[in-house]
Order: sequence, then structure tokens, then C-alpha cells
Amino acid sequence: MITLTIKSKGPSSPQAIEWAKKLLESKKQTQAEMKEFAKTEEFQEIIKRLRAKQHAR
Amino acid sequence: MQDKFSVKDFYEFQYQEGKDKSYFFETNNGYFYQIKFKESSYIFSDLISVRPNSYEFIIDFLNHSNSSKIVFDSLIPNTIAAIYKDFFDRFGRSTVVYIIDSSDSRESARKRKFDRWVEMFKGDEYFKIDAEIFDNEQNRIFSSLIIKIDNPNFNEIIKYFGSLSSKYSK
Repeated sequence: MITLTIKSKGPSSPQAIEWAKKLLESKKQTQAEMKEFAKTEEFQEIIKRLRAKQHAR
Repeated sequence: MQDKFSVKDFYEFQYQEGKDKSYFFETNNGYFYQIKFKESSYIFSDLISVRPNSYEFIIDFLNHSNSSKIVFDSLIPNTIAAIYKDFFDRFGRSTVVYIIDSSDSRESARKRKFDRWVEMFKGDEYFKIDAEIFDNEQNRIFSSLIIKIDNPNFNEIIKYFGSLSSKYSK
């Protein structure tokens, strides 16, 4: 992995702030959806499949 | 380019196809992780050729063991790195962005954790760019972008992502 770091010393542009806030909001919303998904039958099926794969290893 | 991914020991994970690409794994300590590469064309709304392959990386976990104790588990970073590798093997032209919440002042710890997850990628096949964004209240928001080095839009993506940082950047 090649990594480049951009350090900031001052305020970001309004465009950058809007971009970051949109991403943070989307992340929060998606994590809430993930928690809801974890209550579903589909999620339980995924757990079953995973455990079956683990035991077969 | 030679694949130098070297992680061998990781939890079994399950991939689920959909508009968003989801992964699941369970740890020995009873934690169940969900990882989502969420299709998010707005991230690069100005770059038409990049938009369809843009994803947000989102992770969340549940604990079925009823224990609040967090135990260090070295297999977790290995597994997340393996999932990243699997995702890029499937969708090599993707651009993945990770954003770190700073609302509880724990952003630096989260950033270190994310860096540990992805440092498992050895060699020069992948490129990560880290940037800081300061909001109007001077909260620091970390963001990272990961792409494969042979992405056909590499230069455009790096230039655009870099432009989102401050004019005072170094």
C-alpha cells in the first residue's frame, strides 16, 4: 500500500465540508439500517451459512 | 502487477451481492461484523467516468455474547484486509472512501484503527490517500480513499480528492 497524507493547516472549502457532512450522514444512516437488518430472518440465515462454512473448514 | 497480499489467517467471511456489496464475519469472542461497500455516486459527482464505481466503506458490529468487554483480536484487521482484497478482486475499478466521525472526539483512535486494518496490504498494488477536512467549528474530519494503482482514472481521482483538502495543505 502506498500512502499519501495531506495535512491541513486551515479551514476547508465549503465544498469539502459539505462533502464530508454528506458522507458522515450517509454512514450514520447506513449503520442504523445495518442494526435493523441484524433483526431480520435474512441476517439469521447469513449467520447460519457462515457458521456452516466455519465448521467445514 | 504482482499480488503481494500476504494475510493468511483470518475469519471466514460471507459476501452478499446487491446494489451495495456486503460482507459478514463472526469473531471467536461473539462479535458479528457487517461491512458494506455502499454505492455512492455523489462522492465524485463531478467525475462522470468515476461516479458508477464509487463506494463508501461502512462497518458496524453486534455482540451476541452479552459482554461489554472489548478484547483485542488480531484476526479482525486481517479479516478486514482480506475483505478489501476480495472486494477489489471483484470490482477492480472501484474507488473506496472511508470517513471518520469526530463527534465524540475519538477520531484519532478510529483513524489509527482504520490504518491498522488496511496496512495489511503489502507492496505497491494499492494507493491510499488520507486527508483532513476542518468544518466551520474546527472539528477535524479524517477521510481516506483507496484505489488500485492501475485504476484507469487514477490521476483524475487523486486530483479531485486532493482538491477537497484545505488550500493551506502541505
